[in-house]
Amino acid sequence: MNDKRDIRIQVPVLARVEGEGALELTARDGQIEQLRLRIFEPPRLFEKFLEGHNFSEVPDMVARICGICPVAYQMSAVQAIEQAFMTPISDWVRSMRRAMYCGEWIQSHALHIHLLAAPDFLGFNSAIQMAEVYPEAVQRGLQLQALGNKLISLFGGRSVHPVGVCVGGFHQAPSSEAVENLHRELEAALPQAEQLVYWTAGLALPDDEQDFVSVALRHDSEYPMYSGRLVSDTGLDIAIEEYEQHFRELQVPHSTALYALLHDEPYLVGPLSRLNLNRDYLPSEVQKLMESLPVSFPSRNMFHAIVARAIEIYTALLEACRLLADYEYQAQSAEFIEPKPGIGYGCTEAPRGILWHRYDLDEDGMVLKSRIVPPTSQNQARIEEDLHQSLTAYGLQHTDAELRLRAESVIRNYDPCISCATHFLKLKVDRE
Amino acid sequence: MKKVLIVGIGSPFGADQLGWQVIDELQQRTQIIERPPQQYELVKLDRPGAALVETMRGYEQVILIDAVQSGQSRGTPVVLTADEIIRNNSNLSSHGFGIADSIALASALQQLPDKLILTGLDIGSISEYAFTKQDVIGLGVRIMQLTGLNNVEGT
Repeated sequence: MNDKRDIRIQVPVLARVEGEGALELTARDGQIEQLRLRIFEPPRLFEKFLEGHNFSEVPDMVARICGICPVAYQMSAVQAIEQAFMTPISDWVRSMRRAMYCGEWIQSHALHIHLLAAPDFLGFNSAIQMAEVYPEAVQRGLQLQALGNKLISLFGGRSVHPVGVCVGGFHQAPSSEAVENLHRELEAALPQAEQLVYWTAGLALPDDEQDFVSVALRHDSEYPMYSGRLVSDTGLDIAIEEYEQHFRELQVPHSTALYALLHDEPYLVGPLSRLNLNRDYLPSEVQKLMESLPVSFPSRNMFHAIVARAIEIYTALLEACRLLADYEYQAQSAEFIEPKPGIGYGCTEAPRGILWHRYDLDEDGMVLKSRIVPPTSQNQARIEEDLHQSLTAYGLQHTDAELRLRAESVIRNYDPCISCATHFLKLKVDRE
Repeated sequence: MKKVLIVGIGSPFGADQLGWQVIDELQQRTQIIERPPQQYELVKLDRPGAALVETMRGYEQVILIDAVQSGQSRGTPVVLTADEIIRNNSNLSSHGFGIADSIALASALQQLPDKLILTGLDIGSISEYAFTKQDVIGLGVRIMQLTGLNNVEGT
């Protein structure tokens, strides 16, 4: 096929992503002329909804932003509010929050690997088709997803939009018996998670090395999830409070989600970034397993993100087992809260990458202003950059159907959560 | 093998509450006997996606309750088998996995319960308003007859 032909590919509704987005691509004389990841889902306006609400309502409100990663929204929010109020948080609360967060990583990653991403690499249109040929792999994915959901429910009462998290801790501590039962199930699933890592590393992933900037949290003693400093592989090392001085959000006409740039350049957040920057903090069992993989980290191949997700499932399972092993029931599961006026910042590692929150609160703990920067909007500029590089490397001589599939695979590889991203829009109205 | 799972699917809004309201109704009726029948399990789910496959695993019979939009007038009872759900799945939603996708996935994995039906009421053209108490009771009674729950001693 002629690689200089005019190409016009439109994917009006992207399949196997969370939310509604489209792709527009035009190429002429062997060059990509225009490439847009068009996000048209209506803005969600959550930052505005939060204004005037009491701090105690925030965890349940922000959980509604996403059905897949509600825990991440709750964790960044409570962390920010507790910082503003200068509330001391006990080790028990910190550990149990991390355990709950492990549940979200397990369920979200298991869903993405098996139902959204893997069909691309195995030549299927859907997970349903894939299940007929690879039933054991899909069953393993569904079982891991269910286990992650159980871990969220243990602390949150339910897995979708959980309600157990509050500023200061948890509304209620789970019973020792419930924790013991789930701990047994988590331990029993470890071999499955180990097999999953090998399975993803054995997939025929495209060879597509690229230059990109990885950004993630880094903690001084653990693999990042609940807290840390913001670091990059280009030398960034800042406190989360300094985010606004280094990262800039901007609006483009074709998207209802904001773009974000680090020092005016696109950057990557998510499992591949985390692993590239923090592999030294993975549990020893995971590091040992990684030595025998045909894929090594840090990696410049974006398609290795599926292996990074599997490694993080195994890591999260081990972490949850460790954190729940010596569980002690706490009758008082939350700190006493005394509202103070001020500004608080929170940043945690959602399954898809860093989720940054800022709240301005008054003396009664009412929200004056809020700002939420979700991972998908941070990845948007990088996705478009990746599409340019990936499609050019793949070759524009491929058929429209092949180019379309490759482009969709590139986008899906980021596990974009479009519904999370579309929550802000500035309108400019010209009046005569 | 556990026996019967009755799942109310929905959200807290408008007509979509139907599945949850029917579960509340069934729970109230079975609580009257102060001895919940052990062979039945009642659960409420909020847009479960693919997690529905694991939820259904191990049951002989599953009844899914949901508000549906099939082009009929509001309040029309709807009963669909697994085959009918899979056959009629237009798969137009971009929001990942719906109920029909989950049932198709369970079928591909040969993990469907022996008996599975989806029952509910058509929302007609209005999704904003919840169904009446009368509608909820009517559907609850039909489900009790369908599953044999009404024959459990004491109800």
